[in-house]
Amino acid sequence: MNSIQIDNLSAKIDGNNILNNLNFTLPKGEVHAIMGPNGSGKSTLSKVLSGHPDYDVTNGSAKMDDVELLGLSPDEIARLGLFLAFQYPIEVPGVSIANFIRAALQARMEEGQNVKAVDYYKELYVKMDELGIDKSFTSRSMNEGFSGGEKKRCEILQMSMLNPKYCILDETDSGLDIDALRVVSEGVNRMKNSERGILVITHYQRLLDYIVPDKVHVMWDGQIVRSGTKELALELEERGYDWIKEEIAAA
Amino acid sequence: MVSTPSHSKHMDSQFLTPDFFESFSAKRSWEPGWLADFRKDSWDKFLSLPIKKNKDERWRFSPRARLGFSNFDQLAESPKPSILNGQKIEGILFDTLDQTILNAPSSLLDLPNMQGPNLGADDTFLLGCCFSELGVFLKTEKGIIEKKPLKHCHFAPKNNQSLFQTNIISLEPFSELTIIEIFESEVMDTGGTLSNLSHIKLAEGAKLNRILIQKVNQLSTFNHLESIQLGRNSEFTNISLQLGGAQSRSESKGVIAGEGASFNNFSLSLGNGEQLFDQRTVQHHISPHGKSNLLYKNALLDESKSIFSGLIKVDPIAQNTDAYQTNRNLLLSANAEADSLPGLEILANEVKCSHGATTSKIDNQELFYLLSRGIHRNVAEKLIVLGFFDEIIREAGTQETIELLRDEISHHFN
Repeated sequence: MNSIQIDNLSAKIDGNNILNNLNFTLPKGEVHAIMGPNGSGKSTLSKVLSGHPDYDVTNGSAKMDDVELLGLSPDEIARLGLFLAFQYPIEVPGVSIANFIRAALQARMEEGQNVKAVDYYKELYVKMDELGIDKSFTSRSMNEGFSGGEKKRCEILQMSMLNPKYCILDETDSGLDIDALRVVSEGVNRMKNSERGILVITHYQRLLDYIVPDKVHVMWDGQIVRSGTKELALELEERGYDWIKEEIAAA
Repeated sequence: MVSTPSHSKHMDSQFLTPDFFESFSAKRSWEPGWLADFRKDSWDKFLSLPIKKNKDERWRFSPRARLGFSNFDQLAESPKPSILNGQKIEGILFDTLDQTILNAPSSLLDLPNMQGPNLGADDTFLLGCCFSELGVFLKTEKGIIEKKPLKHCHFAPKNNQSLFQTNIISLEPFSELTIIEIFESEVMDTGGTLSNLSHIKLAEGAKLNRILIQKVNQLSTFNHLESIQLGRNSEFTNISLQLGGAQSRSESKGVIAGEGASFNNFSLSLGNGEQLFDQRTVQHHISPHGKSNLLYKNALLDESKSIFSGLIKVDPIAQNTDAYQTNRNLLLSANAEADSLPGLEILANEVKCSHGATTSKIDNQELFYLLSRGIHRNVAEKLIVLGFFDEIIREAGTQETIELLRDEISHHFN
């Protein structure tokens, strides 16, 4: 099936269970949002899907277009077509944006094939323009000394250059002012198409005004406890998460 | 001839027997007498070296057995000659050592007075003085400014043989030059020991940029003993890239001898397998207003190991000295090891000096970030190392030399 399909996924870090039999499906061509309070396991889900070695998967499966992701290395998962936009992008001292993205593209090419420099820079500059990133950034070290907004734009730049099948955006709105939020959201919206699934992880409904989801899920204690339309996000914004907690407790 | 017990310690190798020295001298009978005397004198000094002490601060942390000559069977019989690239340039004498001995012996008269760095490898230095055959002699005339780099290339011998050579570089006042020195191996399937003595002298206002690339094969041993003398207001920027050798010992002594001289000494080492890089340095300020800046960076994979021992020495007369010494090590494997011994000996009171050493492991979050973009692990490590080295690579002057360094480093990961 053309989707990310997660069944009964449990995972822990440092002995603490974070994901508890989580079930979730992201079909190709749709935008889904996962919302939830701090500590509910949203970021863990993105890290586990990306193959982060610090997490132990104790149960379940996570398939992307029928390929099991669990057990693969992070670079294999990425080359299969999953992209994670980090909540806190990491600084890579001494490695320029241009060389970094080029290496990532090169990793996707057949043996003996090379990224064509002219085409590469042409595309890079177009996408930088769209995201309002100055051309001088190409020679700057990845994320080093970048503002919060610059880091997030740079994540979206990488995402659009690498052309993934599925994208996970982990708290991409955190640390962004309203202008940056708009630019970043527009960048994500340009990537929406019938061949790509996008998962937006966020605390706040605000981002979903710009990136309108087909479905909204609420995560709580390592599970998806409620799913609905974008109206669910508005309801959460208005009422907070407590009413969901109470409903779960009652059930 | 019978060796006395006191120097039997040197005699493990065939080329370290008195007979061998006699036959070597006979082979070099065409040389001027003063040079023959110098070789003999060096041989005698070698024989009278005290027995190696077990505890010698100059060899601290060093697995000394790996750096001796006893493993090497003989002197290279017909070593591959050094290759010199560069057209004849008016005002620059640039030739092999042998050709210089033949054609311009008087320009070498100072050789017996040239001191080694004297940082521990006395045996290597004296054997180098005694047995040097190959090497280059480079001298500029006053005021000559050459923009195009001069390049010379030297080869570690094959079949467990040992080779000694001497490079002499001398810049007359206000001349400027860039040189690229390459050390590689004659063949890839066997190794040997290449021991290189290097004497660099800059007269007033002279400027030298040097890129050194050491990529002898990993069956070989590389010894590099370098003495640098900086005259008034002269400037020397060195970038050494150490990639090769099962083991290497490099000793570098820079004497800031003239007022206002400036010495930038940068080194990058990249180790894998069980490679060993043993680095000893001195920045000695004997004149006021001098500057020296040393930065040695070692990136170590697998079970490779580095030892850095450095000293800034500022004499009482050398007021207003700026001297810095930094060693940074990046460990890319749990089994890699870096030892660091920074040191200061400041006898002047108006100085700015600092030293520091850091050793850090590869940042797992940084590695995950690169992997999460689909970059293969070995490429990710390469990018991280290139990033770690970048502040030095950027000092390499032209885009061409910068690319040369990057390519050599990248190649080491393939």
